Amino acid sequence: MGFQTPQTERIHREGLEPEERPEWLPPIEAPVPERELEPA
Amino acid sequence: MRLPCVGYRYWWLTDGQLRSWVAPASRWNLDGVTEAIHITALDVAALEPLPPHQSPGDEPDMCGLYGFKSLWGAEHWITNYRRIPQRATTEPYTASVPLPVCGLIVGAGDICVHGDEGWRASRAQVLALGYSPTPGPQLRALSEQHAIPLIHLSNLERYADEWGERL
Repeated sequence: MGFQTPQTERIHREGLEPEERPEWLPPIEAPVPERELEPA
Repeated sequence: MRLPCVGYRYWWLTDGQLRSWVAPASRWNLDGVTEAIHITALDVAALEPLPPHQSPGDEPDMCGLYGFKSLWGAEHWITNYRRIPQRATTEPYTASVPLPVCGLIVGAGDICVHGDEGWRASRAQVLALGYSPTPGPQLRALSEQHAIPLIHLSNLERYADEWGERL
């Protein structure tokens, strides 16, 4: 398992913290999506 | 604000749950954020949840929630690591045949980047599930139950662009 490429860097990205959901994330209790795009 | 990273990956879909491709004990939270757990080579076949671990660790530790930078990369990887989850001797966790499912995720927290191939994150959330040519009943049920969009594979990268940074 694992990537074939060696690790190149270690970074940190904010977001997805349980106590503070970012606005750009879809709501957990969102209605059932009907987003089924036709093939391009 | 620096946006989190988006990536592609595959899971096994069985019994209404998405399980890690390499460690079926690792089930993804489909209603929110999934936290990485530690796995080792010996744990890969384990079916019981593993204790929390500071993840991802730097190499040689290879745990973390995997995201590939390209859909092609994710597909290429699974063709070389086609491990079908086995039924446990003590817990028959599945009565159905595991199905490979592709999807788009967003990663955050501590992230170990592996060049242009992908990354391992400490936290991640499923943004969309892919299908081709049509979504099967299990995938449709999963989407409806957890309000996760279904996107045709040919549109998944376009959808990903709406979300932000690809490392």
